[in-house]
Formats: sequence, structure tokens, C-alpha cells
Amino acid sequence: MQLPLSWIRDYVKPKQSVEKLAELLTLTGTEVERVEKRVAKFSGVVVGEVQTVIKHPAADRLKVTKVIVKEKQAEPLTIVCGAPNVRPGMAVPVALPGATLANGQTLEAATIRGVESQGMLCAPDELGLGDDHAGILALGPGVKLGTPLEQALALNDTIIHLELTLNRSDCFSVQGIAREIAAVTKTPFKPHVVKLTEKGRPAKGTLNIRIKHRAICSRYVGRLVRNVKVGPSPQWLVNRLEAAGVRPLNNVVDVTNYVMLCLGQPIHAFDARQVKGHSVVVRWARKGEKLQLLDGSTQALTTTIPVIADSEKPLAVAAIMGGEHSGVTEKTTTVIIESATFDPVVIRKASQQLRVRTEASHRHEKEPDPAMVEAAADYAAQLLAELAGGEVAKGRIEAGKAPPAPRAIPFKLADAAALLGVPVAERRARELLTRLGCTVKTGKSQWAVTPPSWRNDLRIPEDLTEEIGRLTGYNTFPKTLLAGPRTPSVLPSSLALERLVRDRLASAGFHEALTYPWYGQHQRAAFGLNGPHLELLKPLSQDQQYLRQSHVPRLTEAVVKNLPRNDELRLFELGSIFVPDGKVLREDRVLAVVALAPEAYRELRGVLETLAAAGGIELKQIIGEHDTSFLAGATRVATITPFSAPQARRHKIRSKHPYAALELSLTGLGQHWIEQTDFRPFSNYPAVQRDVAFWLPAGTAYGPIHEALTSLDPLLTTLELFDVFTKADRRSYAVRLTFQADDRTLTADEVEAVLGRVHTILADHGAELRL
Amino acid sequence: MPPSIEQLKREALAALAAVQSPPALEAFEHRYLGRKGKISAALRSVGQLAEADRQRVGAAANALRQELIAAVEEKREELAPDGAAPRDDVTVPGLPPRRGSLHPLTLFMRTMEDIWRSMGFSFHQGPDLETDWYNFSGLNIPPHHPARDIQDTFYLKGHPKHVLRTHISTVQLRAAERQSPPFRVVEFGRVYRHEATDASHEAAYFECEGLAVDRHVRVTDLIGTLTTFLETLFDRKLQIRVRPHYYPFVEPGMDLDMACFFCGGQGCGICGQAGWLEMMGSGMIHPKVLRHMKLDPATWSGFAWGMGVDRLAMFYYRYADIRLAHSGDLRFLEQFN
Repeated sequence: MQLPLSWIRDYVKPKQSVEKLAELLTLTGTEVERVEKRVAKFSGVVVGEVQTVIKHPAADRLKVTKVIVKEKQAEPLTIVCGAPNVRPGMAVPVALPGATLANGQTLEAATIRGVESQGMLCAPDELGLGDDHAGILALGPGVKLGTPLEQALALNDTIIHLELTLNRSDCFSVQGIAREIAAVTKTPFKPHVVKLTEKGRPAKGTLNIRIKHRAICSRYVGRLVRNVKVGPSPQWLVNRLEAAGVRPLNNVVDVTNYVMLCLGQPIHAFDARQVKGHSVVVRWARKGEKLQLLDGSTQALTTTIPVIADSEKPLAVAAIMGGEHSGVTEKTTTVIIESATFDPVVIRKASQQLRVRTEASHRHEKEPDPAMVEAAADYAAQLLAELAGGEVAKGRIEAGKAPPAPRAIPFKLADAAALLGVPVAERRARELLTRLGCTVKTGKSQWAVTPPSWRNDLRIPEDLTEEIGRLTGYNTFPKTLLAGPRTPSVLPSSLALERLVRDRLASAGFHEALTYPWYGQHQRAAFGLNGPHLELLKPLSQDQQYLRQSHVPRLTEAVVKNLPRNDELRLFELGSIFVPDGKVLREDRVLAVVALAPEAYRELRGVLETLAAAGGIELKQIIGEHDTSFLAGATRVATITPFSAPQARRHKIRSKHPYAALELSLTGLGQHWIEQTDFRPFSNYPAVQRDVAFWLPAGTAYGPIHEALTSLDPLLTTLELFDVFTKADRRSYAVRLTFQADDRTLTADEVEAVLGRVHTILADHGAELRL
Repeated sequence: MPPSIEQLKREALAALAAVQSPPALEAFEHRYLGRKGKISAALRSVGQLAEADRQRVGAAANALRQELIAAVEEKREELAPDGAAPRDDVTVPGLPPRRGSLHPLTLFMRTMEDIWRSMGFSFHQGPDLETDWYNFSGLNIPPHHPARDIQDTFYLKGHPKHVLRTHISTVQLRAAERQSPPFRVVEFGRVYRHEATDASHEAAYFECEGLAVDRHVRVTDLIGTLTTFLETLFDRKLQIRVRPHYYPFVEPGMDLDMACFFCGGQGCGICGQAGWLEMMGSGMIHPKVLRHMKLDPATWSGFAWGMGVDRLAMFYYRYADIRLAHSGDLRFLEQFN
């Protein structure tokens, strides 16, 4: 919200500079986003009035005007002007010779096509007021001739931009902010006083108000104003609305906005002609009813939408937006003013359902001060009388009951001091609460504190504690540390495992990446992710529609992105995947590793195997059509997908290296993980190493040989495949075998015996020894 | 030692003693130790000996072979001119070992984790998909509370009771289910906001939230603990201010600001001319939330705080676009390791 300081100063006059004031407000919880000091970008421009307009004798598009810049000016100024909107009686900005315009140009009297022009009438852009150059700036009524324009437009004002918290409904108004300023600066607050003169027939008998459905509205106050002349608002009101960021429209609409901004209570104005029988009913909409709103949209109403209706049809969506039909137009003469207290939840639901949010609806959602309802109706009526020549019919028409007065909060000062951690003097606490408008009834150990009607956020003792804390200033508090007992902090096993996995991968040359947890149909199709996915109701875009079940699509994109600067790439990501499992929404912590490297598949398999080994887990391989997966016990915990060259190219990976991806469920791995802490004795006897090399026909798997050799003999302790190459239709494998016993030095014969069996196994698998 | 081997040894040693240059040494090796050298010949001839002599002579020949190999090595060192061999070029740069990297956010979160651990906070890990209760209602944000607006929520098709958590304040309720007070808990995790991304806004980012519950936890403990945390993290005395703020799940609620790193509090583009950067939201746990934690507010009190990790990391590492964290660009990922 933004408000001009000059308006606030109608109600409170703090002595502080605006900067100091902004800081005070911010540090007491009313955050000032920024202070905007407006300065006129021109000088020497005054308010004038156009008397006559005639065509320029020598130019079709130009006009010669006579303009006065003071009352009863004997010799009006002659000013040549080209604007289409200039007409007699218009109040306009007149730049006199010597004036400086927004672009820095200094004006001098000049002769234009033979006519001497003694000044210039200004368009908004020439004054630095936006970029409108369509016509001369038309000033509102009520400005005094000759007034410097910056003064008439209140341009040299300070605008305070506020970032309000939504619990403080009272602060969404000039009066509310003034009251808050009064409280934090200890300056007197001058409450708003309505000075209303009633005239003519009473409203009673003409205007009827009925609340049919109490759930919508607890109280409705109406006023009738006759003989209203709809027209532009006076300049001072236009200035204030514009400074508050509200676009002026006409005097009636402007008055409703002005009163809402001033007092915080939304106001609506109906054209009484369009209100059948001058009868206003608050009710739920009926099925099938339709209403065209002031924003031009037509809403199909349902029984959950609260409306203001006449005897026949809806006139407005209650508290949210008026209808086009009953809105104020130039022809309006009699106005019905609405000021009411609506149920915040009803309004909020309806606003969400219709997707219409207005300044009025968001204030109603926060429950504005119910005590302002009459004052706001009266103030609006007063202004219509003053500014639109209206006659305010005698009496308010009211329906419903005023809400009960706020309840007293039982308050123990000792509790407040204990929660804040600082001592709070009784006198000071009482003074602070009173300053905020609370009524304080002190007692021996407990007080009864009644908050003012506008502070509906004060409900429990802790709320009062906060008021004392914030007005005292948290920054004056000492800083203490928790006093209580401390237990050792141990990382839970799931997090410890994640730490271990990340560390191992990073130290093995893999780079951790982070990708978005969603993808679209495109990625699902490209990576064959065909299972059911969780889908977002309103995704940010089409390719962020599904919650991921694999990190690989986005990691692959990262690979492609880095490809221009890297030959080989190794990335990993650790994060959640989301799987709908019937009614259960499963979340698994998953590690994905991708490699673009000469031995991509073997690197990833090595990562998997060493990780599993660290947790004492034996993996069993299941070979699938496109990928290969690994079981821990009976659970599938990992999958490795080697991408074929054409597949990789389809994913835009252009590289001489193969691409592969590993996906490992850490949730699954964690279930089988055994923390290895026991010492495992090792042999102190010498080990013997022998290398064997052999050929296998292309297409014959090496795995079964490796598996058979691994379990061949306890003396054959390790087996390392250290060289693989292909020649013609054969592939060569070289394996280093290590033999070792726990209790003795092996003899050559023992080694030879096992080696003989190795050769047998090789022969059985169709291997041909390479000598 | 059989006479012939003995003789061979004397001859060989004498010949070796005479060697004065590396080429001569090479010739010697060839003559005595080569495949067709004299030792090999001697070993080959063992086969023709009488059964009884074979093993003895063979062993002696082998022993001589070993002795000569050792002697040749010794001679080689002797002949190597001191420092005359061209040294390796020690001016070439090192060969870096292959190393990977941890994500900057991982590193940053670990730094924070370590501080919280040292202050006695233990860790919790909750789900990203949350029910309405943990994300909203249980935290004193009932249905149709206006506070639901400021947290643009991702909802799921067909699962109306679940949301992607919009904040990690969920830990307040979840941690209390696992333990009874006093406790100090912190959680790091991903949160989601339905928000268009730009240089300072992310739709999926990390938050860190923690809480401490005990018999007499005070606002001063909150301010002291969070100040200590920030000063430890940034390793210097900081200018910190506390500003009242509204969060439905705390009362009183407050924000912690730090004097802007970039301009030192003078006001710049990064702090929006304010001179202050908002670091975290915090407050004393609301009595309603304490009751939802099944704790009696008359006995227990506590504070909670939450902060956006990605945003704080931008200040910590001094980069200006929050989206870099998700960029997957190695030039970013590799830094800071």
C-alpha cells in the first residue's frame, strides 16, 4: 500500500523526519518499503482558466485562446494552442514566459504564425506527469487561479510505500497508519470526525435493507443521497487518490475509494434508479443467476456466491465488485451508499471461486474495524454532499447487529516477561497497551486487557506480549543462549548415508548437479518413463507438469549443456522422486549418476559395486532388454542404462564416448546397509599374482566367467579385469588373479592347482587362452 | 662351487672391474647375462652333467647369476655421472588428480549443519509431499486463512489432500512427533512455490528451519541463538536487527535482518536501497501450534526460525542469479570446492 504523508498528517503530526519515521515504523512491524519524495519537474506553471477559444487565423490545426491566471483578470493572456481538448471554462496548467518544463526547456513568449502567444497550455508529458500528449491536462474543479501548479497538484509530497502484514487489517487505511504512527512516536492521534448535514425526506420509507442470509453479513448500513451531480472530482481528491495509487474516475466512485482508503471500510455506491423498489437484499445467489460486473466480465453465479440484490436480481457480488447495471454513470442522480460487515471466509471463498480480487474484497477478507461501518457511510454521504452537490436523506437504514464488543484478554505480566526474557515494568506495560487503544484493568496477578475494535489480531495473551515487545524494541533486548540440557547431535542414518554417497562420488571425479524436480510429456516419452506419474494441478509450464521419477532426463540436459566445454562428463544428483502407489504417494531418495566417458558403463557399475560393498551389500544382476538392474536381497535397488550411440544422439549428445546412467535408490540401499565397523583380519603371508589372458568370441558374455572364478576357491582371493580389447570378431580379456592363504605361504603347486581349474573354467566357457 | 663356475665368476668379476663406460657395461651384460651369454650357456650345460652334480652346479650357476646382476646394478650407479643425466623438467605444471565436486548448496548446507550441530541441534528429514495438516492447518493456517495466499501452492491432480510443501515449518509438527521436549531440531529440505522464476525467485528451492523447545525458552534466546549462528557462519561480528513480523505459527513473530554485505548498509541495488538484507523469519512457537505438537503451552515454550538456503547462499558466495543453482553448468558447480 502507498499513502501520501500529507494525508496521514490530517490525523497525526509526528515530529520525526520521514526517514526516522520510516525506520521507527519498520522496527515496530509496519514495514516501510521505501519513501518516495515527489518533486515537480517544472517551475513557473500556474493554474489558469480558458475563457474563449477561436480558430487560429493562419493555421487549421491551431487555436487562439484567451486565458486568465487570476480572478477577474482584466486583460486575459493570449495563448496559441494545438490541443484538441481545449475548451472554454477548462482549468488548465499555464506555463508563463520564463517557466521551465520537464524536459528542461525554458519558455519564452513567441509569435506563432503571426499571433503572439503569451505562454503555453501544458499536456501531462510536458510537466513530467506520465507520457500522455493527447491533450492539455484538465484540472479538477476547486483549484484557485494563479496557484503554482505543483501546489495545486500536491506534487511536492512524500509517499510512504508500505509492506503490510495481513494480520493488521487496521493498517490498510490512512487512519490506521496514523494511529500506528501515533502509538510508535507517542504523538497524539486526532480521530476522524464526520460533519454531516442531512436534508430532505428521510431515507426510511424510501430505502429498504434486508439481510436474508446472516452467514454472509452481520451488519449492513445504507444511506441515500439525492440530487447528486456526477462529474470530475476536485483536484485535491484526485491528487490524494493518485498518490495512493488509485485511478480517479468520477466524484461518486472517487468518494467511495477515498473513504475506504481513509477509514479502511470499503464502501459501495449503487445508482438508486437501477435498484428495483429501492430494496436492497443480502442473500446467496440463486442457481442460474448471472451478473455483469464493473470490470466488464459476466459471472455465472452459484449458491456459494453472496450477492447484494434488489427485489428481482443481483446488483453486485457482495463485498467484491459491483454490477455494471447498477453502477454509477453520468446520469445517476440518486445514490445508495453501502457500508457493511461481511463474513471474511465467505468473501474469500467467493473471491477465489470467481477469481476476482479487489481492494474491497481483500480488506473484507481481513475483517475491517466493525465500528467504522456507520462512520464510513456517513463520511461518504458527507463527501457526496460537499463534492457532488448531493442531498443526504435523513437517517441511516440499518440491518443486522453490530458485533459484540471485543472480549477482555486475561493477561499475566509475569508470563509476558518470561516469554520475552526481559523484565517489564507494570507501569510501562500499562502505558504501552493503553497507547494502542486497549482498555487495561489491572489486577493483582492477572489483568483484563480489552483490545480496541480495530485490533482484531489481539486475541491471546501472547499477542499482547508481542505488542509490549515490539514497542519496547527487540533490538534493545540482551542476547542470550539456550540454557537447557543438550544432547549429542548425531546425523540420522539416512542423512549419514547421503553424506557418504556424495563424498564418495565427488572424490571419484563426479560433479554434483541440481535439477528441477519436474518434467513434461516430452521427457517422459524420450526416456520411456511410462508409469503413472503425479501431476501438478497448475504446472508453471507444459514441461514442468509431472513430478519426476527419474533424475536422468534433466541430468542429460545438463550433460548436453556442458558438452561444448568438456570432452568427458561425469555428473550426479541426489534427491527425491515421487511415485503414486495407489493412494500412497511414495517418495524415494535416489542417486542418479551419468557418465560420458570411454568406459561409461564400467565406471557406473564400479560406483555401484563399491557403494554396495561399503554397506556390506551383495548385488545380484538382472539383465533387461535396454538396461540392467541390480537386486539387494529381493529388492531392485539400482538400474544402469547404457545408451546406444543412436539413442545418445537422439538426446543431442554428440560425442565419441558412450553415455550411460545409473539410478540407485538410497531408500532401498539404506534398508540393506550394514555399517562396517568391526575389524576384519588380513593375511600376513605373501600373495602370488598371475595374469591370464584369453579370447572370447564377440557376443559371448564375460560376466559368467567372472562370477564362476570369484567363487572358485578360497585361495583365489581377488580377481581384476585389467584389459579388454576387440580384434576382428574376438574380444580379449586380461585378468589378474591374486592367490593368498590366511595361514601359510602358498607353494607353487597349490597355485598351479587352482590355476589349472581356472583354465578348465575358461575352456568350459569357450574361452581360448592367449599366450 | 664347481671349478668351471668358480672360474667363470673370477673371469666375470675381473671383466666387470675393467668396465669404465656405460656402453662397455652393456657389452658386459650381453656377454655374461644375455640370453646367449656365458651364464646361460653354463646353466644349459648343467643338463649334461652327471645326476649327482646337476643340482649343485645348477644352484651355483644361479647364485652367480644373481650376484652378477647385483654387481652390474652397482657398477651402473657408479658410472652414472652425478647430475649429468638430464633432470626431468620441474617447471612443468602438475597433473591434477581427477576430482569431482559437491554442489555449492550442498557445501553451504553442510557448513550450516555443522554449526547447528555444534549448538546441539539434531536433524530431521520430512517428506516433500505434505498433507494440508502439516503444511497449513496444524501450523495455525486454517482453510481460507488469507496467509494461504502468500504461499502460492502447488496442488496435485487427483490428490486433493496433498501439497508440495510450501515451507519447511512442517518440521515443527513432525519433529515433535518423534521426541519429547526438551529438544532442538533442524531440517534442511526442498520447498516449492508456484512462482515464476527470475534472478531472485525460484519455484523449487531449499529452506532450513529449526526449533528449540524447553521449559523457559525466551525471545532473548531466539535473538542470541540466531545471531550466534549468523556470526559463526559469516565468521565475523555482524550488524543484525530484529523486526517484528507476522507468521501465523509464531507469536511474537519477527524477521532478522543483516546489514547488507554488498554496500555495508549504505543502500544498493541488491538490498533495494534499504541497507538491510532479510535473513530469516522466526518467532516464539504459537500456543496453538504447541498444542498441535501435543505440548502444554503453560509448561513448554520454544522458538522456531526458517530461512531460504538458496538466497542466503547467494550472499555467502556472492553471486547474483538464484537460478545458477539449478543451471547444471559445471563452471558454477565446480567452484567453491
